[in-house]
Order: sequence, then C-alpha cells, then structure tokens
Amino acid sequence: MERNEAPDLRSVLENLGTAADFLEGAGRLAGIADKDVEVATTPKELVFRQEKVSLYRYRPIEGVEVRTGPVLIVYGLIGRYTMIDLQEDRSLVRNLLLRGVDLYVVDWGHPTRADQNLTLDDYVNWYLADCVDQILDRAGREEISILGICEGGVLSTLYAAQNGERVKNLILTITPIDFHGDLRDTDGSHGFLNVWTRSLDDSDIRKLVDTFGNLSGEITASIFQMMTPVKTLTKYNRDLLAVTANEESLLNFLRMEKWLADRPDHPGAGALQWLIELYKENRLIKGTFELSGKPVCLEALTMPILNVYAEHDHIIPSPCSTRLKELAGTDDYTELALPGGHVGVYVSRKCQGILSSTLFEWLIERQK
Amino acid sequence: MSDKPTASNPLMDAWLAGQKAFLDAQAPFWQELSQGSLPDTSDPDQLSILFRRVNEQCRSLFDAMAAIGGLEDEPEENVARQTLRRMLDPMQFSYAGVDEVNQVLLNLVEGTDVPDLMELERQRLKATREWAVLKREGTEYRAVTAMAWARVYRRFLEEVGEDLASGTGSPYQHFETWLRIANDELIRMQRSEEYLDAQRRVLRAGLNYRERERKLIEDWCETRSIPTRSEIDDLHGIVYGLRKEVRALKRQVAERHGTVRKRVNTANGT
Repeated sequence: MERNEAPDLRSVLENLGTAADFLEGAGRLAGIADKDVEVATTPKELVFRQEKVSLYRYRPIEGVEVRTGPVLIVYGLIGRYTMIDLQEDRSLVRNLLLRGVDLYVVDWGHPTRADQNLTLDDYVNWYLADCVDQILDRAGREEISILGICEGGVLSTLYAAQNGERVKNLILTITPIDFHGDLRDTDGSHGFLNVWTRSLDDSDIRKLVDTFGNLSGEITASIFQMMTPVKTLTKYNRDLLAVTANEESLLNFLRMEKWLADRPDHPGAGALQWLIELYKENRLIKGTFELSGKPVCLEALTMPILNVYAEHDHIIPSPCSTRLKELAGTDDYTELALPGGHVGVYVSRKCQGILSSTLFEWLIERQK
Repeated sequence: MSDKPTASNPLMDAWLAGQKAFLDAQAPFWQELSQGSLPDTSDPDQLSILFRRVNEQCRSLFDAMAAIGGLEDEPEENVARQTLRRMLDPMQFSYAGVDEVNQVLLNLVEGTDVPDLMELERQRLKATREWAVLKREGTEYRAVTAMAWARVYRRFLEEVGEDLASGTGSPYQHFETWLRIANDELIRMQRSEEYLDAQRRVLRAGLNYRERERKLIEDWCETRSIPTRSEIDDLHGIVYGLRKEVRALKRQVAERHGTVRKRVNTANGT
C-alpha cells in the first residue's frame, strides 16, 4: 500500500477476521423496515388529554383478573415512557398486566419552545394532579399507587409529598433524591452527569436554556453518550457486529436505538429547576425545594415506599437513590437493588423478571 | 419546535488539525488493523486525503448495502438506515465518546447558516470577537482531548508494545486492550478540572456567539417588520400566564360546584 492510500476497507475487515460477518450483518440491517422495530405496542386506550400530555390505560389482558388498584407509571421529561414497553418479551408493562395490575401511564409528549415556561410545579400540580384525579374518578377510588421512573420518580415524590392523601403506595425506580450522592460512590465511572452539572456556573445553565428555549434533547443525549466513551466508540462496529448474526438480537438493538433517538426537549423553566435547584443545589434533601410556593418535605412521605435502584447505575449512582431511606417519613420502606445499570432495570430480561414479580408481590401485600 | 440548528460545521479547520493528533494516537491500532504501512502523519494534507478516501469508501459501501437491502426507498429517519450509516461511518471512531458531545454542543450553539438571506451579515458575524473566541476555545478543547489520546497511546505501547513487535497476540486482543485503556483514560480525563474547564469555555463561547448571531438576525428582522424570536418568546410567556389564570379560575368554579375533587395542598391555583 502506498503511504497515502486509504487502507482498503475489505482488507481491514479481513484482518479482523470479521469481513463475512460484517457484510452479512450490514446486509441484514439493510433489510429491516421501520415497521419491524415498533416499540410500545401493548394495547392501551386514551383516557385523558390536556395540551401535549396524554394519559393512557393499558388494556387488561384477556383472561387475567385485575388484582390491584390503579397504578400510574410516571416517566421523566428526559426520554420517553416507551422504555417500559420496548418489546413484547421484555416489557415491564406486559409483565405487570399478566400478573393483574391495573396500569396507567402518562405520556408528556414532545414539548416545544411554546412550552418553555412550564415548571416542575406545572408538571406535578397541574398535569400529574389532573391525571391522578382522572384515574381516581374513573376507578371510583380515593387513592392511587404511583410508579415513578428516574426524573419521573422525582415528579412522583414531589406529588406524593404534597398530596399524600391521594397516594396509597409510592414506587420509585432509579430515582435521584440526593443529587450529590455521587460523591459517596466509589466507582469512578459513575455520576458524570452530577460532576458535569456542578462544573457549570448557574449563568452557563441559564444561557444554555435561554438560548434554545428548552434544554435540547440533543444535548442531553450527548451527555449520556459522553458518560460511556468507549461504549459510544464501539457501538456501531464491535457491538453491532456482535448482534447482527441473530435477527432477534438485531431487532432488539434497533428498538433501543429507536428509543434513544426519541429524546424530547426538556421544558426550559423546569430544566432550570432540575439542573440548578436539584442537581447543583441539592435542595430536595435540604427541604428547601419549593413547589407551588411551599417547601417540599420528604418527611411527608408517610405512605409505603418501594425504592428500586441499580447497583451499577452510572447515570443515577445508587447512593443518590438510597438516601431516601433516611429522609422519608414512612415506617414501611423497602429497597430493591437490581444488578446491572440504569437502563438495564428495564431492558435486561433478568431484571425485568425480578422487578415485575417483586413489585407485584409488594403491591398485593399492600392492597388492603 | 425548539430551536434545532442544523449541523453546520464552521470549525472544520480545527477539526482537521485535531485529526492529526487523533491519528497519531491511534496509529498502532490502525496499523494492527490494516497490517500495512501508515501514512505520513506529520502531513495534515495527506491525512485529510486519507480520511476523505476512507469516507468515500464507506459511503459507497453504504449506498450499495442500502440498495441491496431495499433501504434506499426508506425515509432518512428509518432506524435501520441510520444505524447502517453509523456502522459504516469511520467518523464514529474519531468521536470516541468525547468529541461527539463537542460536536453536538458546537452544532447547537453555532446555529443555522442562512446563506442566501444574510450572506453579508454572516460574513460580518464571523469577523466578530465572539467567533474568534469560539474558534480558540474549540481548538483548546480538542487539545485537551488529544492529550488524553496521547496518554492512551503511551499506555497501550507500554502494555502491548512487545507483543506488537513480536507478532504475539491477536488483533482482537489488542483491540480489546486498546478499548480498555481508552475507556480508563477518557473517563479520567472527563473528570479533570482541565477538561471540565475547557468544555465550559467552549460552551460559553458558543452561546455568546449564538447570542450575537441572534441579535444580528433580530436587528435585520426589525428593520423589515418581521417578528423576532424574542417577541415570540414574550408571547409564549404571556400565553403561559393566561393559561394558568384561566385554569385556576375554572378550577375554583368547578370546586365551588363540587364537580372536581378539592385539592388542599396546591398553592398555585392549579
């Protein structure tokens, strides 16, 4: 080869011993249509819609008796709720429906620049509160169980702390409560999001949000990618090659890609609260975070709490989640540590099994 | 929608210079892969040509694959099409989990080029102090990441240098070693004050440039009676306030008539 000639791609691949695999995998990939990788396919019906926010009830599975009161799944504003129902054989939604859980989910939609003034107060005491009221009216009940995920867990916590009379059980998964908990995590690869946010001045964050109206989904996606630098490096070559030989694995990979690509912008005013008041100032555990003009007191969380976290969560280090045990006012507090990382809680088959069975049994014990 | 600036890349020059450091650092990796001689990495022009050729090869392969699989008729947002493109994109290696972020940050803050509409203004903008600062900070940021890659290279040579020389070990093993070292060093770099400071400065410079651009565009719009972004944002703020007021009033009326559940804890009228 001449010194300035590009290495021939085929010879490079042959040297890796993967030329055939690569070409076969690329060929398989090229034959996949969008309809082959649909996500969030579990049937559900629209219960209520307000602006961009939709509340759905999952259709109970035929022949399965509904054995619990209503459970509302609350995802965060970063990412979409479709994570809990990525594919039929790894769907928390389906696993819970199969056990007889009466399941609802709130979809925050895709906020636009017109929504830049929406605060966390609005999401909690406006949209979420309306969703809860709708469910209670529909079910003829006075209380509901809430299952919050990540930032959705924080929204759920805020709601439960100020509306305890409506919350029968609070289930939190991979939820940050102590936003400086990363400082107690000994794994150096965990908590970069916390470090990165603290490294910015408030004025930087304000300018970032003011400039675009919202916190751009592209920015949050890139920060997440930055947290696993070599994973990002190998994702579309080594890792992809490892799954292309098996069509089902490849489809799973693509479903995850689809979910990752669907990253909404976070409404600006809420993003400022999230990044400055929570991530930087850690107000929630100090009791100085205010919602609707009133401080949120974690001691007001007197309902039963199931707190689920991932042992190797690099996005929400486990000490960020487990701090709740010391601060919540409940006598009925349970923790469930799952192996693996942040997203693994919802996509790993092993975690799915543990999570859905534990969650169901925990709920059933608290139905009376 | 929120502002979605397109992927214009006025920092291409700085990026090309960065490629030199990048290739220097990855030299043993590529050598192992291709088992051929390496290009003259001291010549940035030759490196540019090399990278262009690799890119062209990959683009051709993508086109061929897409045609065989029938993907050419699928929309650009098709997830398999996007994944295939990334799979065949040699740039994925150069992003390496750190520069991708920089690219996104820069793309976002640099904003959309509007060449036909305001070419002269755009040229003027690029002569501003903000542009110069953005270029400088971008270069310094890349210098920090290049140093990390240099450390990866050094450690890699220390660990497997003899194996490479004697032909011991498979390319796969060396690749895995390279990745492990790269992961360690990149994560360590990301937590360094030097890196965080460089990234903060590039972000700040980008936002300042964007602010300058917005002002220029708004000045242009105002002279032609076109609504500006600031005016529309004001309008959003007013509508938001009105929505809250209407909602609070409706809620009060409904609670008075007993048609909705009373809320005892909310103080914002919702």
